[in-house]
Amino acid sequence: MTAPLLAVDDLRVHFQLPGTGWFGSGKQTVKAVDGLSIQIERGETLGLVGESGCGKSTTGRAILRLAPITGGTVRLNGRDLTTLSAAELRPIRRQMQIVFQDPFASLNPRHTVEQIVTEPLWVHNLRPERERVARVRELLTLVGLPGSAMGRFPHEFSGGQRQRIGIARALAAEPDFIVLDEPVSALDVSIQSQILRLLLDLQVQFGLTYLFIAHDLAVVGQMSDQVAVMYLGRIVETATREALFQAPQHPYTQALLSAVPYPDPEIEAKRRRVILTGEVPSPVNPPSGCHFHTRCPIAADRCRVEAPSLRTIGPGHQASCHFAGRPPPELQGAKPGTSLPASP
Amino acid sequence: MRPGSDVSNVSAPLTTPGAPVLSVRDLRVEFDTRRGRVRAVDGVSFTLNAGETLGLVGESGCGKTVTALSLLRSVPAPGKIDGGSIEFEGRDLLSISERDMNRLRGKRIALIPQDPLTALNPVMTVGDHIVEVLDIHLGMRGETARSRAAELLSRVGIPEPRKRLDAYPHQLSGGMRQRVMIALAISCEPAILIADEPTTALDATVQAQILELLDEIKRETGMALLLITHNLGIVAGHCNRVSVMYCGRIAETATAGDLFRHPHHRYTAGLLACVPRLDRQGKGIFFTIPGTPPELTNLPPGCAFASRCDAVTDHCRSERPNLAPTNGSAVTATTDHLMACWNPAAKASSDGGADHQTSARMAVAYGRAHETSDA
Repeated sequence: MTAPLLAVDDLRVHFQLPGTGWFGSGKQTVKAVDGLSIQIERGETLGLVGESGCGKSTTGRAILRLAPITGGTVRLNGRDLTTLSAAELRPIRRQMQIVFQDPFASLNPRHTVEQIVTEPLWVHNLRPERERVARVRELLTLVGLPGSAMGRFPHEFSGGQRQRIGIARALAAEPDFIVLDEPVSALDVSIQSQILRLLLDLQVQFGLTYLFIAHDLAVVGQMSDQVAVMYLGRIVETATREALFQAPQHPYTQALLSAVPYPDPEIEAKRRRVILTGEVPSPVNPPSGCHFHTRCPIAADRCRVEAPSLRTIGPGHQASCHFAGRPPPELQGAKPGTSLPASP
Repeated sequence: MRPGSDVSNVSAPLTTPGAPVLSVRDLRVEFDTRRGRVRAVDGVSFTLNAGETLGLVGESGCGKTVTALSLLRSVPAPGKIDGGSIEFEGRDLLSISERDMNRLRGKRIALIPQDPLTALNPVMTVGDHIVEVLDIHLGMRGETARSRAAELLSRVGIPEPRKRLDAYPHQLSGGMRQRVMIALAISCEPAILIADEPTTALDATVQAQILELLDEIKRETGMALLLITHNLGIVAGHCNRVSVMYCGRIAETATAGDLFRHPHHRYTAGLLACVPRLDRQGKGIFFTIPGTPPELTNLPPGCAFASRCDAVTDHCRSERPNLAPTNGSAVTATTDHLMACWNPAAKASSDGGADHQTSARMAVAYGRAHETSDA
């Protein structure tokens, strides 16, 4: 097996909050990402799922060195990015790009589409100057926009089209690796599937490697080879797409899966839902032991004191739950894998 | 159908379950914009029955929120209602005075808006919000009102309700704020609760909690719930009937079971196929509807969906289809499946297995997607 394109080991991103006491005393630390390790093989997609505030976007940004890294290593093509200076990093930035969630905020409203998509070519000095216009036109065609879009401004486009512009900008740098940070969550269902399909087509065409960040497990399933589930800065479960959906081991993964509504009233009527109580606790002051124990339907005394480590359950399948691999009987009926009809 | 006579008393139970409480006929709402006149809602009709949840589904800009706001006569300028009728408790809401309307808003017809943060006043405590409503509509003051407010907070699952009365909106999480909005909305035991994308701003696990809460309250009070959403999964799990909107018009109306099993309108069928599902998993398994909805300022003469439809005919391009029963007969009181499509995906829903055509078409689409991703 060849080395993975991206290998993140024990990544930590901690933010210091201003103190609440006198003269800045009582400073608190938010451990937005706390000991995260992931690997992505070349040409594959890792789906990173979790609720707001779990640290999934921060992870994506830290990997690109857009967020300050407190500890750990990020290796792209075997090279550790965390130790590089800004100047050393610059050529490597070309290889890694990002597509943002909000297509309304991520494009400069005063720049034309041509300016937006050409910028990476200038920055990284790609293509001779006279070929750049043609290149922009080519990129726009790739993402399904007409050449006439070049002279227009972002506000003249719909959400889906703007996201296409953002994708064209990311492609302009000819990257190996793209962080897709909730690229479709601001879009309508019918437009969503268009953009996802485009992203997959581009992945096949250019051998791209994706980190696909999303909160919707159903969408992640359409895009990913591997899936990692995050909760309060840590990965609670990671597996291949099939394993995670068929046999989720962590109760949080099971709850997330059961919170995905099915567009089918018959299945919905029969489903047993795992409805979690409460909300995600504050990352400033996460619960002791297993971070999830305050909302976990199967939490035991041990979970309140002892934090579980990420254990291997099966081939490529890891979960950080004391009960993983042997879920208590009362939860088995609620597992989405067992309560659903077989895939058609 | 005379619901007005026996629901005038606030605390009295509603009319018999299933009786129509609200009847919207041929509603039209226009916006005068610089780019021309936009008909955001164009001839929308539906009935809302006591104790049921009607889902109003569609993508951004299809007119579902404007429809909801029309029921409260709160369409923002430059929009104005320019036709139709909204019958509620024996009166046409479009012809009553503003003063009478104010007596209904929040009391008989309540709204849960999409974004609970912007809907709450940041300088008022949670308690102030609820007490204000109780005072205005029910004349409840002082300790009585505060006790009732605490009761309501506890009803919607807010822990330590007495303490929370003095909390400001920013001190609560998104899910808690939405619970406060629900407490506000049900404070006067309305006959109709309109929930406009009540969970769109919330996380998946919290979304499940809020929807469950709304179901519970509906069962307890027998109110009618109009649930506006873009999420067909939510509709499947929580609605009795569904109306699908496209470009300001209703494309299809049916019971939830019928709509999902036998989608007739091509848009409904396509939308259903687009929804990512956990039981049809696999990288690259997609169905897509090509293109985008047409601009409302520039609607085609025929079916608004024609440009994106893969079964479009000349008829579709030239004449606009009207909402009609799927079996071709005339509309009667018992008709529960209506569609506006010249060339529907399922031909007739009588034999219970008429959606072969749709499934076959989808299978082809899935097959194609597979090939591209494996290439």
